[in-house]
Formats: sequence, C-alpha cells, structure tokens
Amino acid sequence: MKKFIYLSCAVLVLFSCKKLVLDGLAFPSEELEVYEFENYDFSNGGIGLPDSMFADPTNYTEVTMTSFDAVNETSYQIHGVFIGDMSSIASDTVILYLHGQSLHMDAYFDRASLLANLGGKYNYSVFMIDYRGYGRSEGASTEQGLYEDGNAAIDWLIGQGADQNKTFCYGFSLGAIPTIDRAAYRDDFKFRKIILESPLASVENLVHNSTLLGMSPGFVTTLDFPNAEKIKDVSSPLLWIHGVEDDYISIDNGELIYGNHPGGDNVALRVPVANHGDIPQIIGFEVYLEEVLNFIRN
Amino acid sequence: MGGNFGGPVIDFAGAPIPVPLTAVEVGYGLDSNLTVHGGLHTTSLLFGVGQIDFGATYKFLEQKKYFPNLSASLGGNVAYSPSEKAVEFWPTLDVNAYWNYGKRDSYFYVGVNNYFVLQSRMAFDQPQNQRMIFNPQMGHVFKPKSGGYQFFTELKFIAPYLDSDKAFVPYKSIFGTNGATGFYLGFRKLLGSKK
Repeated sequence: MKKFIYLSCAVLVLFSCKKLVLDGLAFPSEELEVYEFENYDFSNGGIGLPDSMFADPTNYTEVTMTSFDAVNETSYQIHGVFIGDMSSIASDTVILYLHGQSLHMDAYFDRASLLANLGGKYNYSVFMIDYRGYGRSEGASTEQGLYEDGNAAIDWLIGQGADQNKTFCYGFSLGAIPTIDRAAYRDDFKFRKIILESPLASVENLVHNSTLLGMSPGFVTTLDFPNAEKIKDVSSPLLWIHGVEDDYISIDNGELIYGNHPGGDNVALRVPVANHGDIPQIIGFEVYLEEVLNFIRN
Repeated sequence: MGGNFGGPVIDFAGAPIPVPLTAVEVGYGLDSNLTVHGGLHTTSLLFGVGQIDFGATYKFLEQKKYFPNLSASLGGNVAYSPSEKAVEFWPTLDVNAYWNYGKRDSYFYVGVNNYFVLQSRMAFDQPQNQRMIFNPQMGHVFKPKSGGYQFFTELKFIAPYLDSDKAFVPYKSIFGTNGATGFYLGFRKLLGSKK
C-alpha cells in the first residue's frame, strides 16, 4: 500500500509539472553577433551558388525593425537584409524572402542572392528577415512570433514606400508558414503573388504521417502551423515548388496546400529527384530563375 | 513489477539512438498460463499525457522439445491529455513463440505485435490506410540466479513493409528506408514468487 501511495505521488508530481513539448525542434536557430552574408561558410548545406551570383556588400544593407509580441506586450528588434537599392523601393519589384528553420539568415543568403538574379542581377530587390531568436534578432521563436515578425517585415516595407502590387512573398519551408498566414490575413498590404517552396501542410499532418497512429499532435507540441487550412483564405496567386523525393517535408504536404488554394491561376512545379533543400541545384539555377520569373511576370 | 526503456531508433545529430520512452509495469499471474499486466508510460507524463497500457497474456501451448511455447496477449493502450481534452485508444494483439532454457527458465522469443488504429481518417480528412500496424519482434528474457529479477532486451521491426524514407521523423531501420527498428531494455522484479 505504501508503495502504491509513493507511486501515485510520483505520478501526480510528474503530471503537474510544466508540460514538456517538442516545439523547440521546429526552431533550430543560432544567435549571431555579426552577420557574414556572402562570406558565410556555405560548404555545409548551401546550394553551391557561384561567387558571381552572390550579392556584394555594395548592393545590400542590413536593417532592423521592431516586431511586437502581442501576447507578452513586448517589442523585439529583429534584423533583416535588403538586397537592392533602398532609395527606389517605391518603384521597384520587391521579393520578401522568408527563410527556413535553420540557424539564421546567413545560411540562406545564397538563396536570397539567387533571387536577386531574377531577370538579371539586381533587377528585383530581395528583402530577407531573421525571425526572433535567429541570428541577431532578439527574443525567442514561437508560432505567433513568426506571424508577428512577418508583420514587422511588411510594416518595414510599407515604411519604405513599397507598393503591394509589386511585392511578392517567397516562403521556403518554415517560411511558408508566415507567408501563408500574412497573405491570408493581412488586409492592408496584399502580396501581388506568393511562392512556396517545400511547405508543410500542418503539424497534425506531420505527426499523423510519422506515427501512423492518428495521435493528437497536442500530445507532444503546442504548434499547429495549419498551412493547408489557411491557404483557403489566400487570394494571391500561388507558385508551389516541391521536390518529389523530399524526405523531410514530403511532397504530399505541398499537394494538400496546392489543392486547397482557391485561385485558378496557380502554378505547380514538382521537381523530380529533388529533396528538401536542393531544388535550385537539381533543377539548375537558370531554369529555377526562369520558372520563378515567368510566374512573377505572367 | 518492472520498468522498460526504449523506442524506435532515430537519427539524432548523426547518431542512431532509440527514442527514450520509459514505462513502469506491473503484472500478476492468475495461474501458470494467464497473466494480467499493465504499464504506466512515464515519458508521456512529462508531456502532460497520462498513458497506460494493459492486457492479458495467455499461454495456450506448452513447449515440447524444440516446439516452442505459444502465447497471445490482448490489450490496449490509452492516452489522455487534460490540456487537449483528447483521448486516444489503440487495441493491441501480440502473439509470441518462446523457448525456455536453463534451470531458471530464461527464454528467447519471436513474435508479432499489432497495433490497431480505430480512426478511419487522418489530418485533412485523408483516409487512414494503415488500420493495423504489424510489428515483428524478437527478444530475450534472462533470469539470473538470485534476487528474483528478470532482464529483457527486445528488437522490434516496426511496420517494416511501409516506406519511412519520407517520414518527418528520421527513423532508422535495418531494412533501409522501410519502417523503423525499435530497441528496448527492461527489468522485472518478481514479488511474492515461490521460486
């Protein structure tokens, strides 16, 4: 009887402790004191962009903006990089690039630089931000924080005079989450079009497909990321790009999102052989740029 | 009474490790052929989820030389999250063949563990095509000379017929990109045993 009481007490203590969640796995960020941009070591995970296609320091600017945390009523300074001429934002085409889950925006500077080659080098401007908790940005990453950081980026663009009819949003992997959310629910600044590369459908979909047991995702995480549901509220035309052999976020995720988008003028680019992060290399930089450019211009 | 540790092996920062699932377990022999048992999943408690498994194991064939003992275990696994207000239930069925050896009846076993999924739909109303998860398993139970302890190791081949290459969780499997390999360790202390 005594053992039973001890065991029951231990169970109650465990049960009443602060709940453990796996949310942190979604945000494997790394803090930085200084960005390296084109000097970052891309040998582990980069796309193999040639030096000639990288943005050079005379053509990019590190900027900061304020992201407001509505839950804790706190403001964070987050960092971004603008590739292009900031003095002509009002008349330029701008691509807001929302990067994936890893490390910080240094690790995505090659991808952002690649987009700065659309239609010729520096033809379009590219604006990339680090979410809170990433790189030099203050705070800690949360699902709500992604949306608020997306808002901060849009506010910054508005402050610089950007034209919503010339602003496109490109979300890669995790970046698809704020891209879809802001495209769906930000009414004062509608992206002209959105581009999603390797997006996930939802945390529930990942949990169900990974465990096969139909387990509630709430058992292990507080994250939802309901992209395939929110995309129903997006009116901006969509280009969806996904590797057929993606073994991290399987292409089924993107199919759900693409299928749920209400617009009729969508484009799907299913890339055979490509995995999660190697689409530009597999398809080839020229073809990749041509596909994105065609979508932007048509 | 006892405890166990282990789960599907995953790639963690380049190293294959079993998911550290833990449980405490109790069992009671109603007679020499029938045992009822249950387990409390302590790792789940850390996630704010109360999870137990329960079942009854019946030995329906006795070992005759090389022909093994045969047993079947019918049970279930229940998980409840107060914060989610969600309950999940998975019926289970195990069938095992085991061979006793030595003076203290240590044994090897091979068998299958089956999980049944009651939900017919998954996220976004996708059909649940895997209503039964079939997991072959093999293990060994060692009974040392004194102390009334049993120590067991088990290798489970989780859904080896399903492609796991594109699963979000980086499962490792001895079958390459099919299923996942589970590895488990545990012990039991026999209480009130006459042996």
